[in-house]
Amino acid sequence: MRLLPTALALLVAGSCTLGSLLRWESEAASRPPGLLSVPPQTALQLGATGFRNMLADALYLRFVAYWGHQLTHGRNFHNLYPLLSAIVELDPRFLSAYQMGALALGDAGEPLKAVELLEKGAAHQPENWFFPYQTGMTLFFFHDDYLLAAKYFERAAELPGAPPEAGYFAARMYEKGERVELSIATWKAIYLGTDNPSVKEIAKRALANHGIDVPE
Amino acid sequence: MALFAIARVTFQEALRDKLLHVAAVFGALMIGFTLLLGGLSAGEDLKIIQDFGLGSINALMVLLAVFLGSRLLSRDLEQRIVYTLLSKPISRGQFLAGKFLGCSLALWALLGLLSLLFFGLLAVVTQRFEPIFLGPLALFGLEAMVMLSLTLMFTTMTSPMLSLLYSLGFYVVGHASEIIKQFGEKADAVGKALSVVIYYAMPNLETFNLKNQVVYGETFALGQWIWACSYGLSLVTVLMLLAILAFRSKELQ
Amino acid sequence: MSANRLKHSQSGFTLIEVTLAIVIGVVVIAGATVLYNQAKNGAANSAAQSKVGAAASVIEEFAAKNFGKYPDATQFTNAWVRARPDDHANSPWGGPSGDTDGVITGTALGDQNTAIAAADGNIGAIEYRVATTRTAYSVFDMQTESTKSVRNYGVWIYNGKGEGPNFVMGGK
Repeated sequence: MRLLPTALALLVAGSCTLGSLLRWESEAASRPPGLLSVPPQTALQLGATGFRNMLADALYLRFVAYWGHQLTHGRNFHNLYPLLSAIVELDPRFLSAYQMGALALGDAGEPLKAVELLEKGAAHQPENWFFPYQTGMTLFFFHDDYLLAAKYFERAAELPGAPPEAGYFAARMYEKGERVELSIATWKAIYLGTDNPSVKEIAKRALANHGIDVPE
Repeated sequence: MALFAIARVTFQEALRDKLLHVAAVFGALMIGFTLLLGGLSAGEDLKIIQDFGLGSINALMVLLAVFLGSRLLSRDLEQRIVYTLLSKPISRGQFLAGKFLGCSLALWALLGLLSLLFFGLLAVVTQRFEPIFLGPLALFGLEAMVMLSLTLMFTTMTSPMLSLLYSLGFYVVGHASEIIKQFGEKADAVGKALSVVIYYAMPNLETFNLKNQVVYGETFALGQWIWACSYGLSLVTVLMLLAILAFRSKELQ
Repeated sequence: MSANRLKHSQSGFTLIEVTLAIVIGVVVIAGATVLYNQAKNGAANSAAQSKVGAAASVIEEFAAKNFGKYPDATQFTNAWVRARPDDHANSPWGGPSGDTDGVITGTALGDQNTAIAAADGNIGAIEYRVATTRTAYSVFDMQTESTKSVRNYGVWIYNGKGEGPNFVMGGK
């Protein structure tokens, strides 16, 4: 007698599942390939309760799996920015999400969205050189906007803990943007603003390359 | 003293409870599973392991506190044990406090086990012991005690199922009160007023949430931790007093 | 007789219920394994792409320090090892970095039209998959199907005319 309710329950569950799958398949043609659905931001914020980092990590794993899969299966990227935005809203200190997200967005042809993502991080951590540095890299690699990239590299170079490469890139971007006088001014500022002998040497050689004598 | 005798018996019963065993096994599996998840993270495996490990322990403690709490009183009422006990020179307050204490000890025992597993996993991955996680883990135990006392309070007033739902609802709102206040600021006057009422009336359970910052290697001030402990113990005291008051006036049939 | 008669137990499971539970369990585990492997491959592809981006940054940092001059094979290798001391030789798809069989010795960079691709090798018996990115100068976009066997990791430099690979970084 116990078989009958079990069998009935299985029959109902099986029919519902099959019906849902058939409906999903029939609607597949109208969906763009590689579509990634992202939960609404409000729902995520309220639903995360005390598990914001964990939820951000779960979404990050989703992003990594999706991006990696699409890289070798058609490169049909959808909703990358909403997903990455959701991740950094939940966990604004998640630097890998910003870094990989900016690379993914730039590579997918959305460099300005990458900049928007990094600006969110910069708003949360204005003293962290990472964000303007990555923004400069993104603009350089994916948007060819050398002068704007230079400004971001300059901003990064002024922040505490920034690597000397930020200054080097600023100077290089000015040169690529055909503002050689600004490039020279940047190298001069690097030379005068550091006590590090190897940095001084690099700046000195760069200035010499422009035919500029090392200032006293 | 009668209170401690009841606590001891409740603790032993809770340790024999299948729910606790299932929770322990599930917790161990979840912590082990974080190792697999770390492999999917493209370089962020340590963060994933720490976040998911701490999150799993936190979630399990809260859920177990609420489920155990909802059954703590109702089981004794159904089996008529409470009538036998209350016929002895034991006050209702002592009975309830003893139940709470015993169940809390069982929750702390589970927390100890899961914490050992978590530290063990971290030691395997990082080859070192990270004492910074002890603070947040202790606050998980305290939060579980708060949820247990809240659920017990609801159980003295309503059915076990409803007390479970109310407690889980309080948990969500208690953690989301800051977000609700932020949303309320963008809403109309009624929404704004409601969000302010919720913000001040509900307990702020985010006080017990240090896991998000320690994962980034940020130490927390000892004062902050002591404040969280004091806040938690105060909440437990108030909720248990309310539960005892309600239980005293409850008609037992 | 009546003393030997067992009381009807209500806590057991029938054979069909146990069989059903096992079948469902096996299906769920199989499905979870497939999904996990897909996610693992995706994560590895993402890690490779991220490494390629890092390689591009290393090359551009060298150029920034050397007035626009790009590194040759040795200089790039040294810079790459300095930048990634812990995992410069690790394959994102698991396993150590590339076999030296079929290593192509590098030609000097300095051509402005270079792109970078990171791939598992397909030299000799090594199968590969590819991740790509672009430098500031050129776009070179290539897709290949992911393959099953992933053992090695290397970085190839292609020139902007679509010729290559003309450099392999990796190996012991």
